[in-house]
Amino acid sequence: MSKHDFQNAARGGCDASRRAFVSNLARGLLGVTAGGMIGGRIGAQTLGQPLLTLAPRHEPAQQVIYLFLRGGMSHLDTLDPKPGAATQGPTEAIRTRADGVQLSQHFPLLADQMDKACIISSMTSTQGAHQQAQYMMRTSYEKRGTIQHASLGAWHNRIVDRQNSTLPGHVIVGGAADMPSAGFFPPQYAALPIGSAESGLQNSRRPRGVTERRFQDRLERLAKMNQTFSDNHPQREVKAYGEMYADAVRLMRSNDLAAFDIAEEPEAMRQAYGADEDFGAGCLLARRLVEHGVRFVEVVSNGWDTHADNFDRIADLTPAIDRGLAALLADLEGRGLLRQTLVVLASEFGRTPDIDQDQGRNHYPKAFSCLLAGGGVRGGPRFGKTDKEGREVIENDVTIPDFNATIAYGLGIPLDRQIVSDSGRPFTVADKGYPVTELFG
Amino acid sequence: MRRFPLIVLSCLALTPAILTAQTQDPQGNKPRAEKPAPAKKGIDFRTQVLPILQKNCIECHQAAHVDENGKRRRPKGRVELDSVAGINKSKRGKVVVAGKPALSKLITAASLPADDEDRMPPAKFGPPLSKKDLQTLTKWVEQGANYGTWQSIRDDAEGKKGDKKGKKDGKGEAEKPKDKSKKSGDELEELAAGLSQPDADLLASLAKAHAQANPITVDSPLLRVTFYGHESEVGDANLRALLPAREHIVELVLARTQVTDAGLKTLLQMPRLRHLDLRQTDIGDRGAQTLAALGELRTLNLFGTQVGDSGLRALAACNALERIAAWQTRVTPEAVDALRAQRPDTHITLAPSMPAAAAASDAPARNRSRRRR
Repeated sequence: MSKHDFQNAARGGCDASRRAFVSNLARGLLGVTAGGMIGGRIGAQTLGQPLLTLAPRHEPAQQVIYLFLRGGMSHLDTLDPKPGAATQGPTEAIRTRADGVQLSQHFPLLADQMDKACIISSMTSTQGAHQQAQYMMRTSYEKRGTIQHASLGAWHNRIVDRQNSTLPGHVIVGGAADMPSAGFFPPQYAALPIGSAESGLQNSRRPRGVTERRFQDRLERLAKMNQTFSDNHPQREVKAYGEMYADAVRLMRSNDLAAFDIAEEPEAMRQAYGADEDFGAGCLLARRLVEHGVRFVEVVSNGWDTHADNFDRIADLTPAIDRGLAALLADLEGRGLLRQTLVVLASEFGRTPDIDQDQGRNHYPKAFSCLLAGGGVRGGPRFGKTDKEGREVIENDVTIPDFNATIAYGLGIPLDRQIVSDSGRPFTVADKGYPVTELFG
Repeated sequence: MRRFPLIVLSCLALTPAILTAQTQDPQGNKPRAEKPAPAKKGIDFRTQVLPILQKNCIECHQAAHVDENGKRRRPKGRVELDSVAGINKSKRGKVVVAGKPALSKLITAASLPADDEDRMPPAKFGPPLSKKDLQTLTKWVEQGANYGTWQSIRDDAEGKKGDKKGKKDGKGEAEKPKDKSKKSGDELEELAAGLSQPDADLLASLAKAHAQANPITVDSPLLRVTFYGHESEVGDANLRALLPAREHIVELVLARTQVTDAGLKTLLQMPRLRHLDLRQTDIGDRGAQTLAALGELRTLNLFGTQVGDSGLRALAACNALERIAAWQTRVTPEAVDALRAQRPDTHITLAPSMPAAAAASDAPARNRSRRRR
């Protein structure tokens, strides 16, 4: 290893010389080589961070419907009941179509579809505060002051191209504006927010009196006015802003705009989903969007932070989830879309097995449950186990980065693909998460 | 990156150990090492690896026990390194993956840069493992993670030696995780064998025909073609326009397009076509009969088409067909049953069991969108 290599690398020389430098250094110190770098790419800035390389799946899932229950869903009262345990409280358990898998009594409709889904009962985390836990759920990284990480949806759209150039690749229904979406990625990867599924996409039609011709005229005039500015300021942000406008116009002109309008669905379908409620309507909208090739659709449900009156509130909240998710799984399967659509049901942490004096349960990240279905996930038996009272994970712990790595793996996103932020730091889709590849058949 | 701080340069030394464990040195096997690495001799767990673990790891990573102060101690991070069984069960078997240091958390965690907060041992505990120690561990995993006669530290302390019967991992080999992904990746590689990446001109011609062509997995030369967003303008001619890329197309999504039964004949010229999506097109039995010649087709989505029983019967000739979706078609349950009898391995879906509509309820109006922190 020569001084020349050292200096060359220090000067930030080209990739090839960096490769040579690493190779020589390695040979010198450890007697091993740096040959066979991942796919021929070094990602040289990573230096020392181990990169996980796995062979890609045969048929990766193409779309994601990510159902997020915000607030910390009590696992014992939903996906991981412990009948007979003192910690179970009044919630009872019911059998499901999947042998040996029980759900809480609040999920009779989902119980019928459990042959398509896999519950991960062994989720575990150290993040017990909402903001931090939700942030990690979305991005796999800890919330920091120095950078906004990119969410899974942004990663998906960045690594895998859109299927439908006229529709956005990333949509969030009823979701939080304070959670990172594109993060440090260019803003085109941010999710399009839909406030309410029933109202659909607002402001997507030309105002009355403005013909297509007039609209086009206006756009051209605007482009002329902006031309000088864009020429003088060729920064990425300026370009991105322009692209967002172009995207919006494409959307307005899209033949697929109707995908956002759930009123087009027959009444029987609306009732099956429970589309009179936000969540059911969101699930129905999600199905329509993936039918039209939207890659990543999130639907958010609020209100799960049941510090008080846990049991009453769970009874109130769960029917919409039960119906929406059950309808979604059945409908996707009927349309032949379940195999290519990964359906996720997640929350940021669980709730305490011990019931407090307000009949409530409090934040509990040590053990909680999430659910995966579709996308080639093998439905049926649970993955991972908690103990008899639902306090500790006793088998196959899955951290939040592991969970996101599993989703990324399911989508064919390479876990070792690095994207470097403006400050020169590399990030991967699931940080150091390790996917549960066993879930995929 | 303009400059490499020197301290970072020295961390480079650690990277190759993780990244290259399985790959060959293209220039031969002789390492240009300053210290003569015992490349050919097998690493002995008990005398070479165990001391490293005992010095750096065991204090935090031993099975749950009660310490001398009477306090109950649990293995940190749920990782137990003081027994073969403990190592195999921790982190879903990923702590030590025999033969693969790059996938073994023991190695990857110890290889992190000194200032990485997930580095093992943690900074407050002490300095990172020495290069020699890390090399020993890496080589041990590379050579198959053989524990020899060692079972656990507890056994050693109690003077028990020799093989324990019963568990397979008593033999000293770390459990190999069921790497299903390898098999799937191999199938894809087989299909892509000999294919070069589609060039820019080819992709441009596809785009002109309103086709969106994406690689089936990242970096694959195999293509998945969709027509989303342009369905009303896409018909049989667009199918013909795909022919220059016929060797690359593995999946074709024609949902809601204007293709006809006759147009499907074009597909017979695509030797790698495995997945076909004809949702809500006007395809009927004649089209299905054309498709019957696709002997390698794996999945077929006929949702919302005009295919009926005679079309379904014709599709029985597709020997490789694994999944058919036939909801909202003219296919009857009897025809599906007949096909299932003929082809028990083919998964056919007719109408799904959608949840029945809720009874008019007297349940209280629920609180929507109540944001909680």
